[in-house]
Amino acid sequence: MKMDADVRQKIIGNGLASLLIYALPVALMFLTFYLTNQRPWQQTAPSSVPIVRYYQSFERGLGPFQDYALTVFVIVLGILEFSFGLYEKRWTKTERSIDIACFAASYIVIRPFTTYVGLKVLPIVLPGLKNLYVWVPFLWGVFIICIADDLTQYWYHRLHHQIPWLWRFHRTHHSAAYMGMAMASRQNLIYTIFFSQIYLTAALVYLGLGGPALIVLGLKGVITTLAHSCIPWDKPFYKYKVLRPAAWVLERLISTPATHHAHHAASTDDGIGYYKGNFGNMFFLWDVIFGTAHISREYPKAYGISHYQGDQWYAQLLWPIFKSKVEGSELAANGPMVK
Amino acid sequence: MRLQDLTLLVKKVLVGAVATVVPLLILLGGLHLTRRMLTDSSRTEQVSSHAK
Repeated sequence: MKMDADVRQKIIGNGLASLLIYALPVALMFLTFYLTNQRPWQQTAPSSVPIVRYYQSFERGLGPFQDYALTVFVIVLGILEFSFGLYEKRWTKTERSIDIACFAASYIVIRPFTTYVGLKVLPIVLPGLKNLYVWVPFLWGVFIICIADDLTQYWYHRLHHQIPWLWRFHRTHHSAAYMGMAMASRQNLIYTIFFSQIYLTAALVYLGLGGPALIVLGLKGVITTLAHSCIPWDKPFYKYKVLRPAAWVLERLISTPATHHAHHAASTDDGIGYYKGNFGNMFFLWDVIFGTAHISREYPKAYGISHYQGDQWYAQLLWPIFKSKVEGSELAANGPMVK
Repeated sequence: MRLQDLTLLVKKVLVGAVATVVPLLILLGGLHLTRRMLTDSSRTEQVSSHAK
């Protein structure tokens, strides 16, 4: 199955525009330094920003739990979703196994692997560059990483939808017929382990932007988990007139349940579902800029893949190493490349 | 796993590598140029003020 010519053209055009967007925060930082005569690399001590002090005291307050704050948040949200019965009866044994295996794999495999890359591989690939850009002011660092990390993830995600031979690596994330916090980590392990933005951000941490990366990754974890959650926290923004201006900004800036659930819809026929777009993870802005956005302020009635028949958990976790036994499935040994 | 699966994996890793390396090079180049150009311009300003 080949990619449509207009899709290919849009990918090339949007890709070239992205090169400018990647350079934008550094260009703005350069301009600011030039106009204000700042030379932060000449300072002996890094400047102190109030938000950094607040963050450091927040981190100290968490004590030994600081490394697990996001995990605890995800688990609490999961318990809330489960106790309100929001998965209904669609959380079958197979789906439960996939969700739990993917959630566990991100801690057992992905984290140790990326830590290893950060500590052992980067000093070999980028020798002598450790902390070279530690002088980048904190808030500029946050701006740089917000764009670098999330725009890269937008592209990684978009390409897995628009390039037919990449789709099956991402299919697991869309196979569930429900939405919930577990969806954020429900991925084929090979899709997750080669996440481009992980290695880009790890390289930026190695170059000295560790502090800003912590803030951005925390924020991103919360936004993406809430966008996948079956708790429609954005509903009041559309319901109350006074909140509508805020809703207009919010739904264009970050991923919300309404826009991201539309991406997970089983169908596009109702004018709500839109799995051909809404690729943004933390920021929805990329979809607005590149014309892949669809905003309806409503939630789809059905999620998942219409032809899905419950492939085994191991095939969904590790395709193409393990294949599905479901005949005709895209993950089966001679399965079709459908998209 | 067959040979065609392995080919698919290699192609996938290559796409991922390009998506990592391109933005990294832009940022590395941008940060390097920022420091270099502004250091040069402040040196030039210092030299010209000493000359006066």
